[in-house]
Amino acid sequence: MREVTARVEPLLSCSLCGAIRATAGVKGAVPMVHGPMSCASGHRGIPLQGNAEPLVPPTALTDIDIVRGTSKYLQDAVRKLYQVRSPPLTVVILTCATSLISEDYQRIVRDLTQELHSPVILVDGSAIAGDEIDGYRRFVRALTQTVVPPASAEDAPAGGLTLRGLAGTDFGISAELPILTEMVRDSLGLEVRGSLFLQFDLQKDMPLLSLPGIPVGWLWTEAEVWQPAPYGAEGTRRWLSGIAEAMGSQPELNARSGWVEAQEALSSWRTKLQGMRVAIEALSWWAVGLGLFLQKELGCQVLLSTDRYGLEYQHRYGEFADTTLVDVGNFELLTYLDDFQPSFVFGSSFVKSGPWQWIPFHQPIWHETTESPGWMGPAGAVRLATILAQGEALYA
Amino acid sequence: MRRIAVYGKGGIGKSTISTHLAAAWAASGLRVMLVGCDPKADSTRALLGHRSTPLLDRYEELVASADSGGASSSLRGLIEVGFAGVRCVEIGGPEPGVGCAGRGISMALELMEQSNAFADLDVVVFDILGDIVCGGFAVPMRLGFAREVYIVTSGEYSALYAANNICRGMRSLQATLGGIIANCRGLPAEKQLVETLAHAVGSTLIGTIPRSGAFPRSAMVGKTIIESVPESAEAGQIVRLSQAILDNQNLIVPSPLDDAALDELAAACLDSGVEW
Ligand SMILES: Nc1ncnc2c1ncn2[C@@H]1O[C@H](COP(=O)(O)OP(=O)(O)OP(=O)(O)O)[C@@H](O)[C@H]1O
Ligand SMILES: [Mg+2]
Repeated sequence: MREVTARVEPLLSCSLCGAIRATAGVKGAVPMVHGPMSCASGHRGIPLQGNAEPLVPPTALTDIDIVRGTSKYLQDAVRKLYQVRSPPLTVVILTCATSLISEDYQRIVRDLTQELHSPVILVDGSAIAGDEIDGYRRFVRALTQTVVPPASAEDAPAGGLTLRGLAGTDFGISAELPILTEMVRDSLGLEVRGSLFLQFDLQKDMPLLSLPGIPVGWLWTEAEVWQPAPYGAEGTRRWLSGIAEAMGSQPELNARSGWVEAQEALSSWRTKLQGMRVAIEALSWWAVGLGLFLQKELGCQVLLSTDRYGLEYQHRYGEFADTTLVDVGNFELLTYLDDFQPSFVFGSSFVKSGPWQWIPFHQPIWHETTESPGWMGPAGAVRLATILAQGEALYA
Repeated sequence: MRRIAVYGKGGIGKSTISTHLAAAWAASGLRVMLVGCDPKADSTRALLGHRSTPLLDRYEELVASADSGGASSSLRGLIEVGFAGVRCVEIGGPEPGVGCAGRGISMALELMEQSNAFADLDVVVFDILGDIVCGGFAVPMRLGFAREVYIVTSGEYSALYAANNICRGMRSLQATLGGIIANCRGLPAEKQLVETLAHAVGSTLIGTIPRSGAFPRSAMVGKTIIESVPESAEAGQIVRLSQAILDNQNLIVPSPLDDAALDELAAACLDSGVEW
């Protein structure tokens, strides 16, 4: 496998962007960017990706504010926000500038939490401190460590589990989440009670935190055994047995979800699709899941453009991609695609144009598209194989 | 115009020497400005007799008038005139524990340059906070605000260590050193020790100031000894140093010692037979 790591035009943005994505998963929560104007205004497009209001207020610091110290501006801005909106959660996100001068922000948010009787949490969003995935994780840690009371198992609804690590801004989430929920119900008889940090309601959903949580999406590598997204028949079966194992009690895996039938349908496409070149630009949970399906079940040759965990997965569990690009984005990625000559490219709007069919798969998507029909699970796999075999993208 | 910066370990006597040099030059008829580059804003008190309002406290106002073309006049309002006509500016900076002092220094110096604050001067002296702590404090050297650096040190190991460390910063910035000033603590053979370091880094000992109660006593009443006891021996020594700097043409990029060589230099001094 060819491995390429580059950061000229990285796939991932700063920690700040991950924190904004994660914040969008808590109902009514407001991300407050503590830093210069553009760190906030430049990223208002992110909530829009999840059809959320693009509300990202900044403290809008200038040069002289940074020199004199920024604590007072932060206090004033959060108080103002409460006067205007009183959000159930305020997420103060540090930028490179404020992270570098490192004042005692932790004490400020603690004091504000008391003063306003409403949680204010702190996430270091500096790109120097980490990338988008780190930002998402830091948000989850800050929320669960400072806001959420210790889990009490009695409050938790019985027989359920949660999926943790999706974001409202993930492309196609509204199609895939119902598929995931239904598969878990049908195959394992378990109820997905919530997807934590996706439409999370701080008033009602706290007890869900004491349910067993299956790490998916942004947090998938927090599982002991990494389970990439359930694309394909075999991929779906693997993901479901992974959950069964993680739940400990080994719930019976039944075939009602249709992955056995799908396996047959897919094997008939396999001859047609064998050797087809397909490129995937996405974060690792999605990219690895889809890549495994295309390579193992349909015989395609795969190029992955993904985050560091996409490479790490292959080092741990076996290589399957022809080429794996780590953190390569935009025009830099296009040059690798020209080289690879794929028939299909799954990815963001950056990779829409080229001598290939494009399937929108990863944010940012700014070209108008029909909603994703959902590619996960057995039915999604058949839908996908059909499109690849017919050689036409849904979205010309 | 001569552009001079005074660096050295914290508390070593940079402000004392800067104000006294400024006072001596001004008293001899030169047009002098002293710029305190330190958030403590305590560089100019001995020339003014009081604390001056720091430039950064009025930054917005200055920028607004710079935008309307009037910065030089409003900056003039901020520049106070002290003993013998020395123009005094304190840059100032954040309260301890917050903000970014280094950034403040560079912003203030740029604003002063844009506003022509350094026009019509024979000498400008920059009195710089402590050791080089971040990029901001290197700005006076880096952007050419100061062209010759003088490092103040005593014979104490920590002061020599800091002096050598400043040379290290200067080497990487390719900044030029005019000489090393010994501000004595009263150690045996102190002058020789400082001189040995000066030669080791490729420079010279440009002057020696004795330890004397006259300095802190005069500082108590907000004066330099050039003003309060001009006939004293200490004042004479300051005047000699000020003249040596004016005459100095020996500017070099220093070659710092590595830690082992510095330790050797210090140990050799103990072995030299001088009684401690
Ligand atoms: N030659 C000297 N003899 C006696 N006292 C001195 C002498 N030089 C300086 N001092 C005293 O040492 C103290 C520190 O001096 P000064 O404030 O000039 O140091 P500094 O290097 O500017 O300190 P900082 O790093 O805090 O800016 C003052 O009280 C000053 O009066
Ligand atoms: Mg000083």
